[in-house]
Amino acid sequence: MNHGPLIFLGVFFALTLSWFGLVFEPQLQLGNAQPTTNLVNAAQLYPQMRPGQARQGLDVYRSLGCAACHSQQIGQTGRTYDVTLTDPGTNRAEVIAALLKVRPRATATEAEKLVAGPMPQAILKDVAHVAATNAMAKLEPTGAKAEVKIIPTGPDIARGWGKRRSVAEDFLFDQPVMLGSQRIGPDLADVGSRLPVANWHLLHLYNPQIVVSKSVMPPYRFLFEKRKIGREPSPDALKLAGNFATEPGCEIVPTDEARQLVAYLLSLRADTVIFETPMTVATANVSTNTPAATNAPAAQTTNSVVK
Amino acid sequence: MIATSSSAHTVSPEPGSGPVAPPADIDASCRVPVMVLLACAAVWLVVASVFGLIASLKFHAPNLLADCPWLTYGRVQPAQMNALIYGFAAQAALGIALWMIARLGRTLLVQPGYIVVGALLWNVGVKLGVFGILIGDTTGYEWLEMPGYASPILFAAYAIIGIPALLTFHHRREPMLYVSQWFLLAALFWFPWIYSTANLLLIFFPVRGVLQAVVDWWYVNNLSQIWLGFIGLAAIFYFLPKLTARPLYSNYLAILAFWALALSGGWGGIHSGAPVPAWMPSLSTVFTVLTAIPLIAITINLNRTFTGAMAKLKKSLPLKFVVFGAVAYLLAGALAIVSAFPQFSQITHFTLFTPARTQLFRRCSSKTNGRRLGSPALTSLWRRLASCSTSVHFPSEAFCKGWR
Ligand code: HEC
Repeated sequence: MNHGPLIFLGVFFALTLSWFGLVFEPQLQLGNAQPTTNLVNAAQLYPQMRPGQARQGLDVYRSLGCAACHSQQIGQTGRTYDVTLTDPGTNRAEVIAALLKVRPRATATEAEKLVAGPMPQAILKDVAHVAATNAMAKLEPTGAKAEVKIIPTGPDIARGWGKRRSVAEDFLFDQPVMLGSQRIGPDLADVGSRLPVANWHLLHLYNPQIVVSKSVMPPYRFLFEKRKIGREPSPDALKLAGNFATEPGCEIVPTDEARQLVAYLLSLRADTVIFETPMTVATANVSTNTPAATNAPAAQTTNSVVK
Repeated sequence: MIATSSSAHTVSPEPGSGPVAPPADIDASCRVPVMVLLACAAVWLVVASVFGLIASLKFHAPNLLADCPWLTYGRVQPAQMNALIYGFAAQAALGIALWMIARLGRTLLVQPGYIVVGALLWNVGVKLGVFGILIGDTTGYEWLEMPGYASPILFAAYAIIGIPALLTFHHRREPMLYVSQWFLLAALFWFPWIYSTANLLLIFFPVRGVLQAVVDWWYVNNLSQIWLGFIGLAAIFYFLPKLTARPLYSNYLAILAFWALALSGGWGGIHSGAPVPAWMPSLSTVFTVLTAIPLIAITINLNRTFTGAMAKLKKSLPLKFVVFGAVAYLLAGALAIVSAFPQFSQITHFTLFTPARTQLFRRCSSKTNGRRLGSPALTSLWRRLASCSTSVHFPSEAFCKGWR
């Protein structure tokens, strides 16, 4: 029996299969992906190329191997929905009747209070998609106006690492894409909206223990330059105090690399609303660091209509 | 001695014709290249352990060596992985694979001189690659961190080693194929394919966006599951019957496992929740679960082959290594299947569980090697090396990191 050629062919076939499945086919699907306007709140394209300095910062991030400790992919396990009444309309009695159907536990007086109170009023919180759809179906015929908010959930989101899951679009222009596989430190996919202050990052990189006292993240002092203070202290010098202060007469100034790296970190945000990851954010407060942003009663964008 | 063995070797055009070579001659033809590969592997294991130790210590003392950019954690850690994979595991696997191909084909190793050259070139490549990582030229892709100026050297070196290996296989005097040869032949082809694909699509003509991650996962999974895994399995299927002096329980089961693994093993590695279209992780999960079939087939086969040889296990150190390797392999495979389920991987993913699991795979392929090379010195070196890999490396990596 000479199975040599048979094994060769078989192995070739087996390899080709997984190659087609996991290399070629994904390339067909995503290889020509373009920025899209799949956004609800803007006519802008997403994703945008990172600005130049941030692009250089990506190389610093790669070169220093930050990905050995940090992932850049927020996971999401599901969504919950909130239903809010925004306008009770004129037909109060029917609205109250509908409300009682939507919330069987509520008493008539509670429903009346809800309808009479200042708008908007929360009707349902943290419910499944079906419940939210049902509620809308019952409320709409009464002439009342209600809104559904979509809230992504999952352990990563509960940790405050992001508002929604990471999707392929978030990484379209990065080279290399460093999703990371270890989480010795927190996920950084949305760090730019979580920690938007450049100075914080500079101090943290210079010595993480300045800002997080028991941090095990390595210090990157070599990204900073220690120099004698000239005629005037440099405006860019780090403000170090107490134990962390340098010798008198000297100052610590970030190098270009440090600045690029921080620009990159600030550019890491996964908070754009796209169709793939429906969520509701308050337009007025998008891109701010306030955790309450999603609950703000201001105008909202929701990228998928609950039917 | 290299020259004599290659020139004395008369090449027969068709497998099966000509007299079979005596084992002593085969070992003689293998000795130099295999020794070179294994000795270099041993050195790399030590190097990797040193890197690993530095990396682990940094968790306890972040300020340690912190002002030296070369030795920052983000560089030492990939340097360690690459030293371990390409320096140690790959060379050890290649060394043992060459020897098994010659022994099982009952023929002398073809062109051992070239293999030595290839091995030395491979080491040049790994050195350059690890150096590149330390100076910050890493590519940023896991397990492929070596920069574009090192990987082509590795590819060329592999070709210089792989072609004589294929020729040895082709000129075998024993026409009947044993299942270990199936695994070895598959592994020989698998590496150049995945390595070139991954290098071309990630480093030389990079694909866009998350496709890079997909290609990388595909590569990592194929390298550990198929390439290292197959060579490890070849060694287990070779040594277990040999050392227990019992026939393999079922050739049929072994071949079933081979095809099932070849078809389902190359798909894993994409975890659920990855920022890619959902069908990719789903496909990956399905195929990973399917690897249960070959895994069960292998378990039954090895178990039946081994039953009754318990007494031998106590006496024979090599057998202990082989059994350890087999158990590690099966355990790693089982854990891979379990972690394919989202419920489980949600907890373990991103923790050190995943690298620990891959370590098991690697361990299996390395543990089973290096027996009966006709050189007591080598064997003892190997044992020391194998035990050192568990005693120094595993605790330092898994435990020290695990504390945090
Ligand atoms: C040895 C592992 C390790 C490496 C390497 C590492 N980090 Fe960290 N990082 C951590 C840990 C642990 C924390 C959490 C404690 C802290 O904030 O310092 C952290 C926190 C952070 C944070 C704050 C995130 C938050 O939400 O609080 C940022 C930003 C960050 N790291 C950036 C980087 C950058 C940039 C690099 C590469 C130059 C890097 N890290 C390399 C371990 C690491």
